[in-house]
Amino acid sequence: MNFFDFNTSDAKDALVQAGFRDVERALHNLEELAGSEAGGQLPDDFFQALVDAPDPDMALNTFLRIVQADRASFLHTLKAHPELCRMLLCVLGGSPFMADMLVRDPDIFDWLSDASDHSEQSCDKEQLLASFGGAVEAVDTRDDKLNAIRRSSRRELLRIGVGDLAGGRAIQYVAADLSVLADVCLQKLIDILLPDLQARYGMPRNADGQPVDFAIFGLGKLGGMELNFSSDIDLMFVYSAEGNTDGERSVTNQEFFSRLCEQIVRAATEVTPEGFLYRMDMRLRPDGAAGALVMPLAGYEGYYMRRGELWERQMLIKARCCAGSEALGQRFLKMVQPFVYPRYFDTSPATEINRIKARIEDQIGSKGQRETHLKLRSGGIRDIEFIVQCLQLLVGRIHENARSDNTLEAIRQLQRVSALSGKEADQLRDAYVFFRRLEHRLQMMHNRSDYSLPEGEDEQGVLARTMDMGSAEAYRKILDVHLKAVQEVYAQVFAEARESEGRSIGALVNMEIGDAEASGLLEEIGFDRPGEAHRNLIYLAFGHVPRIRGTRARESFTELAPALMQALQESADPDQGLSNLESLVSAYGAGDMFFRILASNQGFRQLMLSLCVGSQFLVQVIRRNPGLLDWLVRPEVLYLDPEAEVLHLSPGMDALREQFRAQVERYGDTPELVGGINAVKNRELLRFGTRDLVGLTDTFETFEALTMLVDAVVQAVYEVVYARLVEKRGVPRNRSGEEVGFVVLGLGKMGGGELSFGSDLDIVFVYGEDGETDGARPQGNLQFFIDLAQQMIAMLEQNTPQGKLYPVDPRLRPEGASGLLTLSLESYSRYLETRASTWERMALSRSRVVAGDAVLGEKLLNLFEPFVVGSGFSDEEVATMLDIRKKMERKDGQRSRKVLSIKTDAGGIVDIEFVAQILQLKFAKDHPELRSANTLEALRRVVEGGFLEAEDAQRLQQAFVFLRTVEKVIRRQDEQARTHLPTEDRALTAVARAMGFDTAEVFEDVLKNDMAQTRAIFERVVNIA
Amino acid sequence: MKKIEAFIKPFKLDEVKEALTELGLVGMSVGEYRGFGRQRGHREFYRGSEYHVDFLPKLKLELVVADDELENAIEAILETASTGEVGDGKIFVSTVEQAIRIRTRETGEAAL
Repeated sequence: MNFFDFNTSDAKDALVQAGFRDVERALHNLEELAGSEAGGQLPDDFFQALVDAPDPDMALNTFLRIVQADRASFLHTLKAHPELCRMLLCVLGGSPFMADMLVRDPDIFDWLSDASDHSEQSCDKEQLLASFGGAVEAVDTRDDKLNAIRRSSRRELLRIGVGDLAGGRAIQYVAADLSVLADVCLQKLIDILLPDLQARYGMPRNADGQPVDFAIFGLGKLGGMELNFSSDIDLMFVYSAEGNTDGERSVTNQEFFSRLCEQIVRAATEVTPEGFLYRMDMRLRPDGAAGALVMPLAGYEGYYMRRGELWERQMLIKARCCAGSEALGQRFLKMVQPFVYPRYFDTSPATEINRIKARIEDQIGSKGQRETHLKLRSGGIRDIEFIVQCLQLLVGRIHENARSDNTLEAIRQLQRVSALSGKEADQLRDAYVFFRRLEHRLQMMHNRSDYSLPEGEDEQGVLARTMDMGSAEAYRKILDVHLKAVQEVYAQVFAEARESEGRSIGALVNMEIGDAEASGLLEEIGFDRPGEAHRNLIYLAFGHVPRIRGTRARESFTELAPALMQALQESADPDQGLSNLESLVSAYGAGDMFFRILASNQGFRQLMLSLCVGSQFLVQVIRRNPGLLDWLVRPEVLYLDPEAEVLHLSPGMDALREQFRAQVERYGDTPELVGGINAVKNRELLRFGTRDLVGLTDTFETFEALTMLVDAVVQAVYEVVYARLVEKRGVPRNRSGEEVGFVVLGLGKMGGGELSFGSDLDIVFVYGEDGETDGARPQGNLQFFIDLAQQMIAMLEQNTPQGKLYPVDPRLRPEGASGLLTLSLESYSRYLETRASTWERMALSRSRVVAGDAVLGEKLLNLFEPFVVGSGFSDEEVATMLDIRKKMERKDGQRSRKVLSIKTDAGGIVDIEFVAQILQLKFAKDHPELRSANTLEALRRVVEGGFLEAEDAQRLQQAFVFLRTVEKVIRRQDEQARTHLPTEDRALTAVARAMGFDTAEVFEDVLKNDMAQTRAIFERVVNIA
Repeated sequence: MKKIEAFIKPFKLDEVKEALTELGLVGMSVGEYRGFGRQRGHREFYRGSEYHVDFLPKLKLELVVADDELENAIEAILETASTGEVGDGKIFVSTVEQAIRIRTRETGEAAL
């Protein structure tokens, strides 16, 4: 052999030119080779074949090692088949691991030369089984049989590798061959190991005595017939039914098959002098590494139907029965189809897959592999698989053909059903084939699951040559084209998921509380307290421990989630809305059905959210008595008479009183009675509050209804307490023996019929005249009626688990807090004549009889009227009134300049009430028609009388409605008698939004402007007055 | 033997269960149900949308009791499931011909 003169510098140049990296060593090797026994026997094109090998340095090294290790037979074969030389160098230069095999066992080469004509055919499973069978049969012991498999497998692997490296076989055939090889190895392991176990324990049988089947499922690449050289294989084991073996040493089937599987895994993974078969990964099974290695069919069914996750659907797309009972395999696949391709998903697969992908990218990013990890990097193999699986999950239920376990076949089918465009399908297919070839090459160079793309110029050059690409640069260019193409398709397919954040709520509930991604998403939606919101979502989806909701409830919730999230996002207070909804659902129970109704009935959903967002206290009312929800949704409750053309404002006083009387009848005058009355009151409060919240009534209609409710309660309380005292003391009578009446008078907003949520009741008690009761132990009327008033207040303010009925403020009575709680008509008259002050004219201008003796009530109002109207409103009186007004302002002003009181601050509600009252007091003497206890009505009348500019009146009326509505919104939340704007941003924004403003700033501007205007009108009116 | 099927409000479950347990009746199954009432025709409502739900969810409690336990069981359910409001639910009672415990093959009331 004489390639060239080894001693010239030309030789070195030629080697550099030919692509050798270590020229000195190559020269040395070539010299050795030429001087060896082989020197003369090499074919003429040896050097050219060497140069053509992917890694000429390595090819030459290894070739020399084989030659030096022997081998007459090797050289003989080479001589007999000169065409093999090129192939051999190709293998030696492309895969050190295969080269190693050849070095260790050059006999394989003989075999290869015989078998080489197979390399263009697909591997036939039956034939392979038979040939493995022959090798196994030829030996006796179990260990020998296992070694026979290892040897046969290695040879087969080499044959496939040669076909790949030197034969230019398409990657999908190579991968299919490798997968069939794995199938055959697994089948042979079963064949060897199962009989031993059966001999020991007997045949595993089910309850009917029928033999129990066993099957091995290949997942991932093995499932898709896409195995690489040196891939790990992902497996799951299944047997058909529980039962026992029928041998003398009977064990349960579970135990039997556990042993079988353990033995299979050991035999396959054990490293022996004959090498090992496969690295196996069984962690895709139910419960992963913590789960049983093998389970009966029913076990899988139970697990997937109850607890299966999205990644398990993805995984099962690629499940294929690769060894064991084919019939059981079919049953298993049929069983999991409804799980893999369900009617609807917890979460859109796109969203969840996107999330998994983001995590993967974080992980490889943290290992510095964001660019170099062929499998996991953006635009890489995993992306293609995710695109394909996501689309398969989405269309697979309808298009069964698209359910293929093989990626390329799936791409083809997805294109057929238009889930992928022709261009997308081409891009994915080309990229996939390219990546997989690349992966093969990388793995053949190292014989491990290596996904790291080389970064060095030299390594890239070698890779380029194995891929039949000219240079490292060409390789980089092509790689880049494919990565970009996949990234584009990915972006297309998953764009929808990224746009609609609401869909990922289902995924949120599977994240841990505190997960930064979850918090970020919830903050984006508009939650101020994302941690708490996340916890509430999880409670909704899973229930509170220990009452864990089933999968069905979780699915119903996930179905509801997008609509719910959108509604919350648009609401004034998403945090409170969600938290209240959670508390309502947990109080009511039956989450599954509850969610379904919420999801399917938009009206109901709106109703629930209005309640949850708008009123903490109404939610509490329901929580304390969840049955109220059933009541509330009956049409006649909110609408009273759904058949009527016009909405009734309230059930009517008679109907309301009837309900309270029924409670009195039910409980009698017992300690439980207050609770009974309170239950009815709360129920009606819920009705009126809900009607207000959802806009069935406007603010003043709501006030009217709330006032009516108060009246009914006060009347009921009056009747109970009166009856109680009469029973004890007898009927109060005057000196002529006539029964003496009693009146409960409402003042302020109660008098005007304008009570809001959480208002105090301004009440004054008056009785007819002195005398005594006619009981066995008579009592003076004064004392009797003081007791009556006291006990009424006690009952109204009694604390019950449902709260108190109403807070009462009786300080508007003569002499205020220091006066007697009640006085007679005559005393009142005397008081008005002698000691009453100006402010009392204003207070009494808004009095109304709420309960008691109607005749006495009329007398009383007639007594008040001249006092109220008096002889107009003197300058002095105006000054007094202004003084009072200033004190109110100052008192509030002292708290903090930052807190705005919509009631007492300049331009607040009180200003408008004062205007209405001043004008009435000033002009009612000659114009009694001006008088009304109701502020809006009074304003209307003074305009009609010509005592106020219509424009001013309109502004005042608008401002009054606005301010009182703001106040109502604030109080409706927690039933506290607050009149200050919230200072906290979120609460203020919530009020603003409930008032129809987008931002708190605009709302505050409008509010302050209204108040300034009101104050200006107020000052003008006062000056005229 | 009688089978009792009681449709109750979901939040009453704990109370009902407790009362039945006190009677020694512990074996029961519970499922969520949603009744469907007569579909109402479309009508315009004053100021906007109709907040109408046919039925809120119910739980169905199912248990089989010996004949002499029936009355107490029903009484216990009536006592605890009532809220006095509309929609408190219904109880259905039917005769059960046979009961068999699979493991021991006991039959009749012994299997309950």
